[in-house]
Amino acid sequence: MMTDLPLIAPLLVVAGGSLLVLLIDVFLRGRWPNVSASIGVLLLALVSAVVVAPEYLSHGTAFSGALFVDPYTSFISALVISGSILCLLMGKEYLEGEGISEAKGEYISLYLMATAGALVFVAAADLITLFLGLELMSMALYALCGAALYRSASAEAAMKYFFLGSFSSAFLLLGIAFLYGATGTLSLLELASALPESPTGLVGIGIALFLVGILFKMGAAPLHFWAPDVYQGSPTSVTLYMASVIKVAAVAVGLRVFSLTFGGAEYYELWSRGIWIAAVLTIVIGNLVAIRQRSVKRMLAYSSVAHAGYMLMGFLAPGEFGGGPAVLFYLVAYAVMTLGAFGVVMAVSARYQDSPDSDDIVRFNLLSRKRPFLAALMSLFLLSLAGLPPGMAGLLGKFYVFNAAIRAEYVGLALIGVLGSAISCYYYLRVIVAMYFVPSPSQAGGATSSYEDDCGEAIVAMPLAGTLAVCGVLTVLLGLQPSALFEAVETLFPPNLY
Amino acid sequence: MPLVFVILSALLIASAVGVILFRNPIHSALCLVVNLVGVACVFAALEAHFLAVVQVIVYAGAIMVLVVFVLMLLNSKTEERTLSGVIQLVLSGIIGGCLVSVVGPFIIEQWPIVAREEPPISGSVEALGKVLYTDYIFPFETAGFLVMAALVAAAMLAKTKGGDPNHPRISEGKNDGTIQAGGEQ
Repeated sequence: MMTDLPLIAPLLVVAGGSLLVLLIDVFLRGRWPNVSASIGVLLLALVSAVVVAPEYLSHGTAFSGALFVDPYTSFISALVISGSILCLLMGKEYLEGEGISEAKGEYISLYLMATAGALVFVAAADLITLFLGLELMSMALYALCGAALYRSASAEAAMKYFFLGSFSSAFLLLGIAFLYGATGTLSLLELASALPESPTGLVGIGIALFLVGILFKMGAAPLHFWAPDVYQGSPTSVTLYMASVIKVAAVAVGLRVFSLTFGGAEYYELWSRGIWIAAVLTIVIGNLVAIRQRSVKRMLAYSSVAHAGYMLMGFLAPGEFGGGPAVLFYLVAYAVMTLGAFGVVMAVSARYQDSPDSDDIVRFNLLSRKRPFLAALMSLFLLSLAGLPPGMAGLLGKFYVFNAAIRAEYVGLALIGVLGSAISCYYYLRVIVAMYFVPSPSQAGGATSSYEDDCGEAIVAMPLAGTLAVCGVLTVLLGLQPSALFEAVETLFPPNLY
Repeated sequence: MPLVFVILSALLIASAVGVILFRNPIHSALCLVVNLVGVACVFAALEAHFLAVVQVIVYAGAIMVLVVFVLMLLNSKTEERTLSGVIQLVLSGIIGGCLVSVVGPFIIEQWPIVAREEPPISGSVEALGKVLYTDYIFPFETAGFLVMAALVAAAMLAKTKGGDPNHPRISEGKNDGTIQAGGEQ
């Protein structure tokens, strides 16, 4: 038992760090750089994750079967920690300013706790640990959504997320109970062999309820309805985190459970229909509703729903069809692009934070003139999200996922996916048009000088600029050298296990 | 199926229905107490003595005291039967009926449900403690951390001033804080 402790060093660092930050903050109320300290904690966790990575090359479990010790866990954990670092860096200026003035220490501590929860969630090898990790992550997030409580939108986001999230957790827990009742085991590995030969009613209900819980956390239709309101209402520093890190964790866990535990042919028949419907609905609803949005933040929220749909397509092509690596590649590319896009929105809306429509599309007019680099980066991220060149990362991600779906003979679904991404070009390009092609007031004639003041400005602090640059470079690199990442994630799926 | 389970199940269902249907909140709360004690009895009948005791102490004791306390403080009156209340009742009845009609056939199909042949487990405190601190030490500690997170979350929300009209963000802009309803489906 004690020998397993070094294996969870990253988790221990993050969890311990969250308590330490809280404790120091009690004595030095806001008079110490707690954001920088937390970034340090996360960096330390990343280093320890890399250090213990060789230990994860075996395919075993730790703590009497509570946690997986395999390359998949190691990779996703590193991804979660790096994502958290980037999100925290992006929000640094916002957090140190007036954004969350009353309870900074608690905010940072909860942020680290959410990351610790995500680390438990992605490593969980039994259903109890999985549920507890999910709850730890969610519990911290519910409060983080309400961190800007002086805006009632933030309070609304926190309440909505809390109630709906609790419901979805209850569904997940009920599913776990049914699975335990039918098989008598909680371990994800033992469950695979303990499942009856052909699906019985109890197991069927268990899997269905489990799927409901996972789809909710992924923000996939028909359980996506919370996402737009919560993403828009929460402080942008939290939205970033939810759209990238939380989605990475939920998709990674869903992929593992459905391809490893429920991967048998009989059971594939059972859940693939459910996921097929969810994928179609997610792609169609996400893309169609995004068209109507004026708020860029809300538009990106719907786009993140749509992207969950593309990832679900990869779920349907497990094993030799290559859906697993395709989903992971897509996940990394998506996280980088979304982080970048939300980061730019954050910079622009920070400039207009006193007005109610701080992230309206009109605010992006003239951005190319006043902030050419920011506009160029935003275009890169949006083109990549749309899957258009030169945003090759998104294009290749979609190519891998659609390719896997076609190989698994889901041609119709792949067609819907292609159509969906064609639709998505419209709303992504709309922002680019606003940034580059909307005429300045002198050309437009009648516009007043207040128009000039009301758009195209942004507040870009050093950490945010640096992180945006990192995201931009990663987007380009993923597009130019996709094979490096793709071959790496392929090794995470040993053929005999998945 | 032993008679005691049939009686307890009937009691549980009846008290759960009572929680919803009683119009006086105090009566609902009392029904909830009956329900929670009933669950404790089921645990006891399954020889999970520790769970039974914890169920009584935590739910029937601490949580119900809080609920009743709040009801007394708020001085809540008997709920009026309004049209929207009736609609809500009917709608939830339909949805619940759908759920039962989906789940029910599966359970009837497997009738009679027989317990698996397993070595008898003891629900005693000693046995539970041993398992909790050996095999399930990691989930156990995670649960402890989860409670910690809930505490910190509550502290943060309590410290943050909510909807303060004197806050510069609120008083300056014309923002009434509502989310733009542009994308409502």
